[in-house]
Amino acid sequence: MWTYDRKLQFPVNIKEPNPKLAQLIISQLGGPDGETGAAMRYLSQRYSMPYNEVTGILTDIGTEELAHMEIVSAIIYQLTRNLTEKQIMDSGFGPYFVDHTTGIYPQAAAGYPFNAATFQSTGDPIADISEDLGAEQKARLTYDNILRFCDDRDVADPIRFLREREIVHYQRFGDALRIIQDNLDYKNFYAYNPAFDRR
Amino acid sequence: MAELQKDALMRRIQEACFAAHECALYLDGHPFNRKALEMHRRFTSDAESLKAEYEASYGPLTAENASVNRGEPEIWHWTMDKWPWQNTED
Repeated sequence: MWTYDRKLQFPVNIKEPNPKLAQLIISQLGGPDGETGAAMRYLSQRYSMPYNEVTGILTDIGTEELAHMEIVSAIIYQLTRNLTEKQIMDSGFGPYFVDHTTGIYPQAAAGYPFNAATFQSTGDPIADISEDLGAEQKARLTYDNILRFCDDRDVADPIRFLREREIVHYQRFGDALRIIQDNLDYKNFYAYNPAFDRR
Repeated sequence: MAELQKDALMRRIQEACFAAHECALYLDGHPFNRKALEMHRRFTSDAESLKAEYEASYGPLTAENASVNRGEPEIWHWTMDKWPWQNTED
């Protein structure tokens, strides 16, 4: 089970609201390569993982992704504080505002809501970890794209931290894939699902 | 026998933690209720000592405790024990 700690993994203190930027960053909460999908992906995949070390990696990275949902949400929350109706209309924040006011809702930058179809849990260790490696790279490049539009250090610093974590997670999933490969042998070298097909 | 003791101890941890959690939910809406506060204190203290007893014999309950558990272990035990969703007979 889980417990909650009253602390962010990385501090967020944004002085200047910026609803236009909030609309882009929200993709890392509910978009196709966002933190919600990452957390759901790893925490779903771990049950069928037959190698204990890899189950630990999925559990611990999945848990960290929950903390990243909180950081991204804190950024959106602080970027959309104290807005006037004129600021809402001029920044293009109007469509989001109509549905959610300044509530935090997991959606992509393009507006569609979080969708579990953005990730898989296949029950096959090699397929799952290969997806996870790709997912970390996709999240990293999304943060790179967000950073192109971040002039404010208050926003860029936590985004850079999150980007760095994608790289570390990619490295740890590299460990995971190596552990799985070490458990393959001459009878099963990428031939069948080692979690289900026992030959 | 050892497994039975382990399961019984885990059951007591689950009971104490759940009771403390129930008090916490109630206290969120009733922060001045001294009786609930006292119950929360008692269940939390029970849970802490039971968890310490469990970890000393059977391994870490959190990754955070995995390097200070059972003295100072030479290896990382966190990934070596059974995961909580696995059947006891597996």
